Amino acid sequence: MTSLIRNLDAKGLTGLAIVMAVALCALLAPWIAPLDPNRQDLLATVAPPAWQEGGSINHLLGTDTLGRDVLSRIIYGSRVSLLAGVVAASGAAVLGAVLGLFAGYFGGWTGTVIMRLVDVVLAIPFILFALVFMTVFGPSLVNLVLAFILARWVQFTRIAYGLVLELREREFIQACIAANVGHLDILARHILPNIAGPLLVVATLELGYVILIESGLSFLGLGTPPEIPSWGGMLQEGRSLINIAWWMTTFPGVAIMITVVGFNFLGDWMRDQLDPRTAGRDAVAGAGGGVR
Amino acid sequence: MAAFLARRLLQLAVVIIGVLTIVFVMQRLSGDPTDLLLPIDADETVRENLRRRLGLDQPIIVQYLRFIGDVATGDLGSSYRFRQPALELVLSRFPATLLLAGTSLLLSIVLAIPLGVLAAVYRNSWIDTVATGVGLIGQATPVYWLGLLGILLFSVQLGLLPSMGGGSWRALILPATTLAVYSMARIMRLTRSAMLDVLHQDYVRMARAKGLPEPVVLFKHALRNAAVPIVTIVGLQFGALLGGAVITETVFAWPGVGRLAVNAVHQRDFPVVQAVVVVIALAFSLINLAVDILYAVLNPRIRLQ
Amino acid sequence: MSLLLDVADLSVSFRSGRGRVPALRGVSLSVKKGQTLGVVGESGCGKSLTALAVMGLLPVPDSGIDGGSIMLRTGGSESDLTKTNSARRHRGKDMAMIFQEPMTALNPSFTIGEQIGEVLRRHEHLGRQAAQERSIDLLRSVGIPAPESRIKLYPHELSGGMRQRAMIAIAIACAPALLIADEPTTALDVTIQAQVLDLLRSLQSQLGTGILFITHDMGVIAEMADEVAVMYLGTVVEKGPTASILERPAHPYTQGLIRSVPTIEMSRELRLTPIAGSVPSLSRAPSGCRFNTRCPHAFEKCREQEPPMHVLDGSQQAACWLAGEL
Repeated sequence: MTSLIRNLDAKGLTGLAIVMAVALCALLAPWIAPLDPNRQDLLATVAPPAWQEGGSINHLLGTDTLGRDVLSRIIYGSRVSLLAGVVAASGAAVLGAVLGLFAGYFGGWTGTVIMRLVDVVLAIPFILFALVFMTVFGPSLVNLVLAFILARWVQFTRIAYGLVLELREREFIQACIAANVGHLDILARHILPNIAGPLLVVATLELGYVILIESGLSFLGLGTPPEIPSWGGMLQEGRSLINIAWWMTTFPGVAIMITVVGFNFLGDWMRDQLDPRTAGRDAVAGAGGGVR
Repeated sequence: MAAFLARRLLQLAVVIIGVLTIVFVMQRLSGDPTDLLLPIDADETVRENLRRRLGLDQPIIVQYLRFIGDVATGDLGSSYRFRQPALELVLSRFPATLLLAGTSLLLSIVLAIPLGVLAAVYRNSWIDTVATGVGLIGQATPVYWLGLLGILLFSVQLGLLPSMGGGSWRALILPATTLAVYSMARIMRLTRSAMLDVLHQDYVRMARAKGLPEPVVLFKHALRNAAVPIVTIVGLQFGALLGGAVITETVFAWPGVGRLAVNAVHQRDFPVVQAVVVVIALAFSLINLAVDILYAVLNPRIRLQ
Repeated sequence: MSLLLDVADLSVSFRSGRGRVPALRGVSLSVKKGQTLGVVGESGCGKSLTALAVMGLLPVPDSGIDGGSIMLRTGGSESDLTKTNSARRHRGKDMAMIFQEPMTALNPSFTIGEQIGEVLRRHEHLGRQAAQERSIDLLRSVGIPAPESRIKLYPHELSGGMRQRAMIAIAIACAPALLIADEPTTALDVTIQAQVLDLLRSLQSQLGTGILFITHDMGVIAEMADEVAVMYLGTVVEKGPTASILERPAHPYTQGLIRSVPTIEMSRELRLTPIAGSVPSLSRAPSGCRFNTRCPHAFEKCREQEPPMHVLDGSQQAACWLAGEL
């Protein structure tokens, strides 16, 4: 751990700082936010940011159509983004890792079926999968997270599968098999620790991706309901007023961008730490992208 | 090559059957279609008749096979809202989406590959810094937000470009550019890293030793060997663009399948959503097949295996 | 005999964020027209780096020339290859290089025919058809059977020996005056090694090419070189005619290299004696004579002052305080 901190370069440091700042915003929103995010100030609707003419120091980044404070809503919006991101990414990671471990370790029919299923899921762009899911189960944040887990596990399965195939042939695993160590024991004690690192990297990059997708679907009105402040929802509300209230669309977007940059930096940095050979590179199999 | 093609086609068939199965399962989970087709107070016998007519009284496996058979003959059901065949509806909108995604892909390739090559050749220089920065930000920016900013700047402030609708090339500029940003960032980053892997190879040094001009060394000898991962990501990005078009089309009111799908979701018009998924999954799979064939052309070592 | 290549006082360093590490220090050597200079030394001694400097292929920006000159005399004119872009004008045409590992030096994505043909199209301005015919002739001249069908093959479809022949064909395509061969036989097995060396010798006599032959193998030197330069840790420690150096090596390092080569006449009792210790890293090069940490004869002066080149009888030179006495 100390060596990890010592290796924290500019990229890692920036990523970590952004992620921690966003996490603090989410945890301490009630204390940090200047105002209640849902408090309507009908005397100051669509007020510009403080530094513009007509702006007020009470609303640093301006207000929306109902006079709600943009800054406070952005701070509270981090809660939705982070919560959705953490739950969805870790859910997909657990599901995907388990399936990948089984497919790679036992191989055979189970492995083939799982990996074919991966191909199938990869053939559907995620947003479309999410749309189908929302049509069937109705649009909501919970369904969005569920859709994410049910579609994005493939990223983790592919990586776990490849790593397990490699590990399986290694001597220490072969020795365990020869010594009649139980399969579950081998998987949990010897294989999982060896693949946890790469999976964590993918999870971090996927987290950024969930945040992008969540905001996108909320923007389409298919994610977070309007009464909960969310970055995508704010963008949707600002969209129709784009020609008179630029601040309503600009600031939530900046918040999304900075947060996602933070997670991507952190993920890239972790990947460099795991595999210094590829420092500063990008791998095809790497996550974060794939089908958007 | 024939065996290779046969195997790939078989894989394609498996993927398509898989997608159809997922769609079928979703369709069954989406509730009783008679609820949507009939008024709430419809008579139970009318309901039964409709069920029988739709084949819903058959065992699930028969329903499944029937569904696959219908799809094979191009029947993906009728839109509840437009009262016309869903496939027809989707196909009529598909060219607009293809135009948007295709233009975006072209734009991102044209920008990303030279920039990625230069960033790798001049590693750690200002070009590299700029390229890497653009790559990182491009991958973290929500496309629709970029679209909104584009509208704000070019349509509202400067009045240069239309903010919505299709039909003219000027209307294509903003949506295609914003949609291209993410793909450009990814292709650029990958080109850079693939080139970095290749640039220190002996054959690149050999190409220089042969006295070839630097552009030939870089774009013929190096890039050709970096091409396999780049082609992979380009293929994947096309799928990503078809998906990404969903949001972009909504922002710019572009008359493609993405907007059709979003509206269908709001109206719970399942057949339309289903048809969009099938059409896009098929298109994406065909592109991946093309990529696989391109691999074999690009890399003589794969051809033999 | 006239000089084809004259490297004088060449210094090259590796550059990193922390500064410069000298890799070649005052290297002087020369190749005569139509003759072979063997450059020998353990890995890391700077022989390949010298070759890359001549070709103008030093990795940028990680390394660069600090001083000295590399004069190439061809067709009545003379140019200094250390000047920017100067080497590039001669590469492929007046000078060519054979790399150690044909598998990695040939481009896996292009056919052999294309890889030879592009040199001819570029430097001899041949058309596609003419270039192809010349490529077939070249492959035949390096002893590749059925060249008409081989030009359509990719490198991975050829055997190791065939690949090296193909690389030689690329190198001699424009009949260069200077050929640099960097361990051209190291990656091959013994019988093929001998064939490739024979091929190089016969091409040399046909084309009158001067060869800079890099190897770590004293046996190959004995077979190939007219003259030898022995390198250690970025400096030339001994040079001269092959016969006299093999018979009377003056530098303890050369003596060590020769003693570590097995010969047929060697009796079973006589052990091969490897040189003690290992090559120190460039950044920790000792002061004084660079070989003093491993030299059996080293004394105080060796640790303090770097010995200059001593001219011995004939044209043999050695950089050792005890040169001529050992």
